[in-house]
Amino acid sequence: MTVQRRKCKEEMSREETETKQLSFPLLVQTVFRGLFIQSAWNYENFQGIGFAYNMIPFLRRIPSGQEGMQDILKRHVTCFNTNPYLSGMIVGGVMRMEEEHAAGRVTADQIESYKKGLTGALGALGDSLIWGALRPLAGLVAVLVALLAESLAPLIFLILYNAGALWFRVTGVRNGYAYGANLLAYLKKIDLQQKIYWMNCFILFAIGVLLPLWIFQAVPVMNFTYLGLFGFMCILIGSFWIAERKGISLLFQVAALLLLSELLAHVGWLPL
Amino acid sequence: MPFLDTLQVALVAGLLGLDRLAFGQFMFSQPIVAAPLIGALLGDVHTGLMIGVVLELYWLRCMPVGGHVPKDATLSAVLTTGLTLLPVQSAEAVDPAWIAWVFLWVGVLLVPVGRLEQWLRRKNAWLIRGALSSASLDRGIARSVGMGVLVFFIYYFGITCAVLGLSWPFLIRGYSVLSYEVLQGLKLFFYLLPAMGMASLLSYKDLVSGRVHLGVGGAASLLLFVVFMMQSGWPLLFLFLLAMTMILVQKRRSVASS
Repeated sequence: MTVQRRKCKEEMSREETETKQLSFPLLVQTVFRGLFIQSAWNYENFQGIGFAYNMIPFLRRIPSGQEGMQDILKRHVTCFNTNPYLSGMIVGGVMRMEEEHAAGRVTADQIESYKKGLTGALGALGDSLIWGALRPLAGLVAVLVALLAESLAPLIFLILYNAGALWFRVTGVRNGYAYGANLLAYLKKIDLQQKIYWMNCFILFAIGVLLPLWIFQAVPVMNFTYLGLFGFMCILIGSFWIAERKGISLLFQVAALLLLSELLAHVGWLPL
Repeated sequence: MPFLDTLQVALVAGLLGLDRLAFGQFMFSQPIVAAPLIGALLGDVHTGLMIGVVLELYWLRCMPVGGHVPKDATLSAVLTTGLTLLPVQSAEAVDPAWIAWVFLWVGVLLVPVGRLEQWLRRKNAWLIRGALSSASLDRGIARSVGMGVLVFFIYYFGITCAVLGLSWPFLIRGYSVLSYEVLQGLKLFFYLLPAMGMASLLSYKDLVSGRVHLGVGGAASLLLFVVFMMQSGWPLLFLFLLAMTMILVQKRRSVASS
């Protein structure tokens, strides 16, 4: 096991020495501009304007090859839509490719296909990672904290969420540039699928913790035993789970819950 | 309804809207942060947090996957908290039935507001043409980004101003005619609302491989909080350590089996 690890470390350090590093001011500028990636979001080219805006500081610094900065920018104000937190990885990678292009080693078509290939892959991966795992996890932990020590909850949420999100933003740009065309090797190394899996385990654990605690602290209902209420909540969650799976609309689900609540209130199952 | 309070809430809503749509996505716009923030602005953090917790669980479903624009959890939190607290002048506790009534009204409003957001995003295509027609493309792009930020800020500011300013008299009048039983039903509805969010989240998780985590979490919580009535911060720390241990054990097993 240790021999394997050492080999892996040696391989990683060899890879790192082969990669190029982005200068610190440029890294800061690119990460900051990455915060605006969705500013001009529209149904025609999605984050295309934000992507081009992100590239400007870098394009001002590289020696212009056959085409000038305006022409390169024109190539990048096209359709682009990926997860905003992982977009930095593509921006970094494209920067490296543009550098290679200026040196005549890569064509503009190759850059375009590189960008398109990564957009879909990182979009799917990023959505599962950030929207499907990191945000619900931070939210559930914050709700748990709110039920026990309420004033800290928003702060806990912001710290948990942004620690992860900022890490992806900063390391994304840096490693995207460092790995360039070999970005897939980097993605394989950090194994995001595994991270999503563990976060999902934690989410399920947090829901398990939350359910009895929610009933105990936040649902003060009379005319019903605690165990009965627990059973009722499990049936309710199960019903909504089936409704979600069957694709029943949100409006219908809310109406059904409202009707059920009114019915229960009228038969004497009243909150205090 | 104090005009200045409405203006203040609309201004903060504009900034929170930017966080959701145009700048940063630091998630100040999530209900668990946005609602207490509006609550603090209107002098009742506790109610703000109560609304934030329920709406956070309810909106666990909300995921902007690909080009899909989900329902606006930020506006839902801001408008629900604003409309709940603005007409309440005294420092007395706010009735959950009133919050549920406001939430339902805001839910109805979110349908046309969602359409408006989609229309705005379609119309935003003029930003591309604006950038491309500029003599210097880099300046044109920077201008388009700035315009996008401004458009989204005005959108949130305008909607919050309009909804807070216009809808509360109807809300109060409608609420006053509701019977006691209906109000009790609304109260129950408010407490049961998170079940929808939790179910939605569970519906796209792998329950077969995660059933152990779900079960152990539930059992530990039942034991600590219900049987032993422990409600300080220590059980939470214990649960966190338990989860980490479980995950590490499972990781070691999966490494060994592979």
